[in-house]
Amino acid sequence: MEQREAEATGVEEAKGSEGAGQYLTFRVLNNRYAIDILDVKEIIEVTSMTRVPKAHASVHGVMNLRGNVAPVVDLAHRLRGQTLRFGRRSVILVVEFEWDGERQTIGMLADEVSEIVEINDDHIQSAPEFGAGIRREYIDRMARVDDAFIVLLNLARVLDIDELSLNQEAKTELEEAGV
Amino acid sequence: MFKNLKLSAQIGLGYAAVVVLLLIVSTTAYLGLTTSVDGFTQYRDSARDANQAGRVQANMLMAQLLTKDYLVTQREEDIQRFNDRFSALRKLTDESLEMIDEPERLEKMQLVNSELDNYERAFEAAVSQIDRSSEILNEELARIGTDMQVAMTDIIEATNRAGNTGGTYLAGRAQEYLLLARLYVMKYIDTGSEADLARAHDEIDNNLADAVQQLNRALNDSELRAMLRTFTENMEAYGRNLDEISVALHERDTAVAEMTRIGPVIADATEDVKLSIIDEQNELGPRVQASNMTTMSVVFWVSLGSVIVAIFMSWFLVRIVKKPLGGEPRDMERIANRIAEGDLQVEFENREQATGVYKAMINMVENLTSTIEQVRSGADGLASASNELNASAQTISQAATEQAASVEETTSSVEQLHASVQQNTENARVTDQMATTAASEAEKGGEAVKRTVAAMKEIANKIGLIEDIAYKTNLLSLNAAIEAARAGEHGKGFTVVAAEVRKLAENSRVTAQEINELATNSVSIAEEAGKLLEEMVPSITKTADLVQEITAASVEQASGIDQINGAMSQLDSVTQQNASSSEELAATAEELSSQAEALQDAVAFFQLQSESKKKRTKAVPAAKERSGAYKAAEKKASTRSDDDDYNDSDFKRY
Repeated sequence: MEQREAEATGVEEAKGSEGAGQYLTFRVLNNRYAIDILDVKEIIEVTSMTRVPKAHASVHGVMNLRGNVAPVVDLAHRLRGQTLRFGRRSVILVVEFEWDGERQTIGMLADEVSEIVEINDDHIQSAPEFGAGIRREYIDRMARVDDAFIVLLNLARVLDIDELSLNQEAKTELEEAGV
Repeated sequence: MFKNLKLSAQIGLGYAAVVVLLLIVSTTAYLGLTTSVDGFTQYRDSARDANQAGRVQANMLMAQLLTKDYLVTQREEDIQRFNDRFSALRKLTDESLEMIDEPERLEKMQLVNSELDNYERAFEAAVSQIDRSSEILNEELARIGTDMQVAMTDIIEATNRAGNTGGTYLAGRAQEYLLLARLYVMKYIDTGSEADLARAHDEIDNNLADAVQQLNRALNDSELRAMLRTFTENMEAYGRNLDEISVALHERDTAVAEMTRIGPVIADATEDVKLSIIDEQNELGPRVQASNMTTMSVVFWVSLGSVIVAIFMSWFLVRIVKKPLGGEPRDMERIANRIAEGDLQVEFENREQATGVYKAMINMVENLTSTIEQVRSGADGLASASNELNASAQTISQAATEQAASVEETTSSVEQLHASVQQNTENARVTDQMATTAASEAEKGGEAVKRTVAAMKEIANKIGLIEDIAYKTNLLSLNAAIEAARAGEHGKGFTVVAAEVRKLAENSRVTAQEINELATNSVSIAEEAGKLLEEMVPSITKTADLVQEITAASVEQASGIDQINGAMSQLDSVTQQNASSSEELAATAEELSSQAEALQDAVAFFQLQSESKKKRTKAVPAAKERSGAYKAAEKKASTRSDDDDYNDSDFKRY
């Protein structure tokens, strides 16, 4: 099936490149998500990671990315509240984005990376109010690919540095205070 | 115990007791008489011994008396009488030695005999010495003494004439001495006194010799001297003869002393013999008498006992003989003869007190009666049974023929069965070989499958590697696409290449995955095949074993069928035999019915007591007829019983 998808994708790519954006699709807990390819710096295999004490529950640890320290966020936990189980296809998507005028490099743990799809803009719709199985704020928009809808993740919310940099205790305190 | 013995043993034992007592009597009498005769003989012998000893003693006394006579008279006549007496004595002694057996007495008699020898020798010595002394005295001393006296007388006369008074005196003295000497010699010979002998010697050797010497000196005439010399020589010769006679007399005395000693010795010995014989007789007499008395009493008492025992035994034996018999033998014989003639209507007297053979005869008659009644009814039953038997035998014969046919069919079926069983055996043998081969090949197959599984697993691993490579390639292509996207318009061409690479990688990944799936599936299939094969091997082995068992079973079946074959042929012959036997059986049944009739006739020989009271009906020859005939007869009898004095008991034995 994947092969067929790949072929279909190839056909799509061949058909139109005008008025369309390229997206990287991947799977987390059997759900397909996509992010803009321009946000992706690279895709690497799972390397050794160091756990950070008292870090946010969704932060799996930090990794060494060519000499620089980069945090790694467990998307399974972040999106669905479940701990990710490492498989043979598990990958880290290294993304780069602007935050407070600084370029932030963060790794995201995904179950599997699927492919790069080209999606026309008319195939993209706004996010529904509910029913996607994840928090509304994490969804940027919804893209239709081959009659199936893919969640386009809102990286700014998913990788909210402020929220993620709170440690476990602080978060608990905040929650208790009713914030 | 005595009652359990046989009659002959009982009678024999009774007579034996009497005979034993008789034997005791005769033995005792014989032994007593023998003792008495022995005692008498011994007594007679000892009496004869005593007589003999007395005669020896008497003769010895006579011999001693004769010896004394001789010594006094010294006559030849006495010697002759002594010798006669003595020879008689010797004869008696010899007889005694032969007669006397008792060793002590014999010893005494031998002593007597030897002393008699001594006595005879002493007597002869005394006789010879007496002869010699008288010879010396008469021949020598008398002659020499006379010569000397004459010579001295001449000398005295001569000297007187010559006036030689001295010579005469001396010669006279010499003459005196000479006469004195001769006087004393005679005295000595008479008395035997030693003093006289010494005096004689003194007169001759001293006085006469002195007187002769003096006379010799007084004589001067040579003629006288020569005479004196002759005198002197004679005087010396006289001395010598005197010595000789004294020796002879001395020896005579010794012999006489010996005889004097021997006399009492012999008397004592013979007296001892007599005394000992008297002692013996005193001891022997009462003993023999006592023995005789004992014998007499024993014979009397044992004879009395024998008579008593014999009387008792005769009474007892009669009782013993009569008790088992129970009656007079003559009556027994009469009853037995009647039974032998078939007449069982014997009347017995006092049946309650009957014993022994008599009682046995009563029992015999009763038992015979009941037995013969049973035999009669049995014979009738036998006749009907033999008829039924005949019918049955014919049925059997038919059945046996049918059976023979069935047996032949069965035999051919068994032959076919045998052939098929042998075919089975052969097939099973081949199957066994095949199964064994299959087992070994299955084992080899299992090995091959195992190797295949290992190879598959290896392939799966290798394909995993390829998959990884494809995945990594995919990642690379994605990264390349990302880079190309970032490059914007410049990276467009690169994006296409990356897409192609990614497509290839995807293709190879998918293919690898498919291969992997296939390989994994193959592995499981191969493992299953291996498992199946492994399971198959024991099954095949088991099959081989089973097939072997089948083979063995088939062989056993074959042998079993052989046995069945044999059995069938035996069965066949047996069936044939059965057929012929049943025919024989039919014939035998015929024979049996005629025998039954004969038996009825034979039993009719006996006349039963119960029958004698009834009217004897003739034996109906209905034995051969069927039971229906009997019923008819019975019915007829029952119908008749109303008007006739027949009753059912007449037909009881049917």
